[in-house]
Order: sequence, then structure tokens, then C-alpha cells
Amino acid sequence: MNYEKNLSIGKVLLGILTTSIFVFLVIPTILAVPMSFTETRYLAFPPEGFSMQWHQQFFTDRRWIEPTIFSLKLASITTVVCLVIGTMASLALVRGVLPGKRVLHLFFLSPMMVPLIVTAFAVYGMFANFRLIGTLTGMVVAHTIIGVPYAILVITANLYRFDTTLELAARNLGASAFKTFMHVTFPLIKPGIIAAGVFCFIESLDELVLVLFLIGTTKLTLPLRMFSEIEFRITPTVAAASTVFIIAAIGTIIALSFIERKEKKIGLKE
Amino acid sequence: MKLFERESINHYSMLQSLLLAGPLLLLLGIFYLYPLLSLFPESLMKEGHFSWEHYQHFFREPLYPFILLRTIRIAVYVTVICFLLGYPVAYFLANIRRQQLATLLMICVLLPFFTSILVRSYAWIVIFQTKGLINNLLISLGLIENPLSILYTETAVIIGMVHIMMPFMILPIYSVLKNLDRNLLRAARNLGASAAKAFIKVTFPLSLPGVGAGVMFTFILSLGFFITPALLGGPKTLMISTLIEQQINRLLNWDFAGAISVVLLLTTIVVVAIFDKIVGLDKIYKE
Repeated sequence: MNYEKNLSIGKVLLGILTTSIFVFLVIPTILAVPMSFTETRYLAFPPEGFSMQWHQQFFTDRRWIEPTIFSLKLASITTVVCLVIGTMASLALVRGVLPGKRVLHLFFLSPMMVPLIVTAFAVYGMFANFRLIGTLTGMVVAHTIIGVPYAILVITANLYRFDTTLELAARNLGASAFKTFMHVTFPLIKPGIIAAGVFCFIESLDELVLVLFLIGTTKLTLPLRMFSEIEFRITPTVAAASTVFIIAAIGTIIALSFIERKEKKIGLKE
Repeated sequence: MKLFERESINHYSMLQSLLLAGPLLLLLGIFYLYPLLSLFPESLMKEGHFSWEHYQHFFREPLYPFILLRTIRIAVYVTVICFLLGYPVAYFLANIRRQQLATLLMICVLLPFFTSILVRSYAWIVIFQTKGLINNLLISLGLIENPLSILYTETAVIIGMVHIMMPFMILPIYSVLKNLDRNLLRAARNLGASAAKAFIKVTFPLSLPGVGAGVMFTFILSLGFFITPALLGGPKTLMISTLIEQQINRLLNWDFAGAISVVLLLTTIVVVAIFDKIVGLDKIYKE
């Protein structure tokens, strides 16, 4: 029939269009990888020669290692804090009695929507009052504010998704609310909590605007180190640092796909 | 022992709920909500007295409203382009039959999503710069003689931002299209609708909740976006976020920066309220 033919032409066009969009999405994302192996001291494309010197510099130069370690520490602590208080708040929102739940839910999600530069500017005074500027604690607080919405979003979605029969059974058999959470709810939402943790970790590791305002003068994070390097002189070490980020991103996706497979196994997703 | 009914079950009493939500409420209350609300009275003060001066300054000088309009314009461009490019990708992803290809393409969407914004903006510098990828390519093809200056223009900012925002558009549309009831489409086709007509009358209207979510996230994030305009833009592409940073770090004009922040915050709130009316924010977090 005639429309069959039209359909296949349409499909081919759609295929070509989407393929070029996929190329547009991927090339700039991984461009830093080949560039980081250049022999030259400046950035040129295509890269000239082959050398590992920029990777070596990244992994041996204290000016790069220290910010990297600080960023990893910050992201790890932020993730734990976000998951603990985020899971607690999600339970209250979905399974608890609270006045104004809808408003509260939107309030917990709102740091995602407020422009980061506004948040950064607004909280500066309060952070200074508590002497949090330039401290690890201060950065954890700042990143928790913007990381917790991701935790709430993912964990409440998980809690809404499975029905309450199992929890009900546990409660009616005499388990306390806490015991029900530990033995029934938590195992069920564990994949969601892990996914939320990945989001919080990446968000903190990548975040620059709050850091720019609240880090003070004594410490550096990896994104801030890269930012100042890009602003003043563009060296291939930034490309080497980027390569590390990209490998971390690929690792994240692989980890998440494992979680999804596990979710399918226990029947949370069809 | 009291038995819990299915409908009435609340595992946590009001007190327990408050204790559970307490730490987050306290943290956000002290370190987020109170400072944000304080922006309003503080921006209306000058030397200890009530004054509209910062706002008068903002709206009297033609430059500042112009920057606000430019910010909104760029956000609109980015959102429209993301929608036009993102919808076909989401549609394609949702309709692929070969599982391995689907996984591979999903990785193509997720990889930028999880890769540092800084890394991606940096890549665009490399692509756009005078001796960058595009200029080298065009010169070697003989299409141009002198390198184009793309970096630090509005075009560079828009392209860079589209690249950052695409996953925020693709993922919500994809998730709606993926869960669509195929029988509706089959029914339309069996009743004689052409592929195009079935798409316009059935698939597209049903995908609108995903489109709404994608458009809202892209637009709001674009309005307040900082890193890409700061790195790929120049003085001629100043947006509200880069203006705030400039007032604080270079001109040390904190009070005025506060007033601009309020303008940006109010713009964002208006946009969110409009989307709440049209799409309903509940839908976004309940899915």
C-alpha cells in the first residue's frame, strides 16, 4: 500500500535526523579524550603526536591532586547526608501525616529550580554568620541543599510505585514502624536509594557556582581548578582532567544499568 | 492490638513524620529559605532606609532590562531548539525494536547528562576557537579564508546551552512515549488514519505531559544558567546570571546584585507558576 512506502521514507529521514543529533550529543562530550593525548603545550585539533604527559601531570601535580581529593571527599559526604535526610523526609511525605504535604513536597524540590547564582548569593551572609565559608562542612551543607531534591524526587517516586500491602502486613503482624522500614520498605527501595546516591554524587562533584561563592580562598575543588585554568590559560591538563570525568560518567551509566537490571529481577519495573 | 486498614494506613504519626522531615526542614529553613526571603527586604534598603533605588536603577538604565530580555530570548531559543531536536530523538528511542541499539543510543543520551557541564563547555571552546575544529575544517575545505569568530557570540552560547539541556528535554518525553498504550495507535491506523495523522491526533497529544515537563526544566534552567554563558559568551552576550556575578566579583556592587537576583528569582517563580497552571507540577514528581 502507498502509505507503507511513505512510512519507510519517513523512517529513513527520522533515522538520519536522529543519528546526526546523537553525533551532536556525543562528540563534544568525548572530544576531550583524544585531545588529552596531544604532545603540544596548547590545544589544537586534531591533536599532534601522542603523549601521556598531561595525564601524568594530573595524577602527580599537587595542584591537581589536592582539589580532586577534596572534591571526592565532599561528594561522598554530601551523598551520605542527602540520602539519610532525603530518605527520612521522603517517608514522611509519602507514608506520614503532615500538614500541607503538597507545598512541602514542592519546597523540598524547589532548590532545583531556583537559579544557582541566586541561591549562592543569598546564602553567603548566612554561611558567613555560621563561619562556614571555606570549610568542608559549609560545602557539604551547600551541596546538600541542591542535592537533596534529586534524592526526594527519586525516592518518593519509588515509594509511590510499590503498593503498601507488604508494609501493611508487617504492621498488622506487630512490627513497629521502624522495623517495617528496615525489613520491608528499605530492601524494596534500595535500588532507588542507590540511583539517588549516584545523582547526588555527580551533582556535588560537578557543581561550580555555589563553590565559586562559598569556597573562600584556602581550598579548591576540581571543577574550580578547571574553571580557573580554562579562564586564564587553556592547557591540555584540563583535557586530561576531563578524561577522568568522562570515564567516571561511563562508569556511572554502567553501574545504573546494573541497578535497573536488578530492579527488573525483583519486579519493580516490567 | 489495633489492625491497620488499607486505606487509612499511615505508618508514621504526625509527630513521627515531623521528626523524619525535621532535619531537612531545619537545614533548608535556615540555610536556604530564610536567606532567599531576606533578599526581598534587603534589596529595598539603602543605607538603612527603605528605598526603591536599586530597582529604579535597574529599570531606568536601558542596558539592564535589555539584558533581562536577552536572557529570556536566549532561554526561549534554547528551549525551542531542544524541543525540535529532542522530540524526534525521544520518539526514535521509544520506538526502537532492537534492544542492543536502544541501549547504545540511550547511553548516547545519558553520557552527556552525567558528564561535567564544565567538560562539555570546554569542548565547545575547542570547537569554536579561532584555530578550533570548525575553523580548521572550513579553511581546509576552502570554504572560508579567514577564521570565523564564533566563540564569545550569542550563537556559541545558544549551541553550548542546547547541548547541555538536551537530556532534560529528551528524558521526560521518552518516558511518556515509552509507556504509551500502543493499542490506541493501532486502533487509529486500523480505522484508516495515515501514519502522519495518527501521530498528530493520537501520539503527540498523549505525549504532551512529557513535553510540558521537558520544556519547563529546559526553560527554567536556561534562565538562570551561569557556567556556559560565562565561558562561551563575552561582554556582548551578558545574561542575568553573568551580570549578577559581574556586579559582585568585579564591581563589588552587592546591593544592586541583590536587586537583580530578586528580578531573576521573580521571573523564575512566574514561569514555574505558569507551568503549574498548564501542566501541573504534581504530575512531574509523581511519575
